[in-house]
Amino acid sequence: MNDPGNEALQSVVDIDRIIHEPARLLILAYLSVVDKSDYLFLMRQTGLTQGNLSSHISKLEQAGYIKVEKEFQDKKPRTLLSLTQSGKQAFQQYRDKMQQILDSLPT
Amino acid sequence: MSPRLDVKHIEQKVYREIEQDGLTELYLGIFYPFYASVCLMLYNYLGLSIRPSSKISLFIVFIPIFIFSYKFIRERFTYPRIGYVEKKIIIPPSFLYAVVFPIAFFPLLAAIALLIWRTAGFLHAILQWTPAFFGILLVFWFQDMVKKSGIKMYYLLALISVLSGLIISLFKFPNSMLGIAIYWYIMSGVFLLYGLIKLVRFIYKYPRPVKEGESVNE
Repeated sequence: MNDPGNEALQSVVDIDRIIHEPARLLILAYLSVVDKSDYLFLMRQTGLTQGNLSSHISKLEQAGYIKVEKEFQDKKPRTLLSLTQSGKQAFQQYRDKMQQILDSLPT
Repeated sequence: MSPRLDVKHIEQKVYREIEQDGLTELYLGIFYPFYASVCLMLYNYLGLSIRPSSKISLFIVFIPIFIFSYKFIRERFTYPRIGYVEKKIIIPPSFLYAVVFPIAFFPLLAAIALLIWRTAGFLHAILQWTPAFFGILLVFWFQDMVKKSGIKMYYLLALISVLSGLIISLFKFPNSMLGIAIYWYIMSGVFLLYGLIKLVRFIYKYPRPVKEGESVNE
C-alpha cells in the first residue's frame, strides 16, 4: 500500500515552477484580489524594483497567466496588469496543491 | 514569506491601501447631509407645505456628479501616489447598507404606512425610531468594513452610530424628520472627521506623486 504522505511529497515535483518562485507568487497573489493594477501599485506592495518586477511579469505573461494592457491616462502611458482565466486556475491549483502537501507533512 | 499564503490578509492589505486616502469617508460625509435635507423636504411634502420635486431631482442630479468627481480625484490625486488599482466589480454589501437601503427606505415606508393606515400619525411614530434603525443598519456596514480592511476603528464608529441613533430616537421632535436629519448630520460629522484624519495621514505619507522610473521601495 502506498504511503499517502509519500504520495503528497511526490506531488511536489508536479508543482508549477513558474508560480513557485516567491516574487511571482506574490505578484499573482496581489493580482488575484484585484481586477487590474499598474506597475507602481505592484512595486509598492511587493517591494520589488521596476527591473525585477518587469522580468517576473514577462515570465508570467509568457506562461499566459497575466494579461498586460497599455493605455493612456492624461497623455501618460499606463501599463495595466490582470490575471487571465488560466492564471486564476493555475494560482488556485497551486494553492490547493501546496495546502495538500503541507497538510500531509508530519508535525 | 509564510508557506501558507494568506490571501485574505493580502486582500485586507490591498483594501487598506486603496482606501487610505479617506476619500470614501469624506464623500459619505458630504452625501449624508444631502440625504438629511431630502428627509426634511420629504416631511414638508407629506405635510403638503411645499412642492419639493425640483429639489429632490436636484439631489438625484448630484449622485452622478459625486461618482464622477470621486473617480476624477482618485485618478489625479491618489493613483499617482500609490499606483492605480481597479477593485473587482462586485457591488459590496457595504454599499447597500450605507447608500441604497437608506435611500430606498423612506419612500417605501411612507408609501406603505400611508396606504395601510391612511394617516400620517402612525408614520410619525415610526419615524421617531428610525434613527435607531439606521444606527443599527450602519453597524452591518461597519462590520463589513472591518472584514474587508481589518481596521478595528470601524467598531468605534459603529458604536457611535448605534448610540446616537438610540439617543436621538428617545427625543420627540416637533418635526418627525428632524431626528433623522440630526442623526445623519452627526454621522456625517463622524465620517468627515475620520476621512480628514485619513487624508492628512495619506498626504503626510505620500507628499508627492511618484515620477516615472523613480524607486518606491522604502
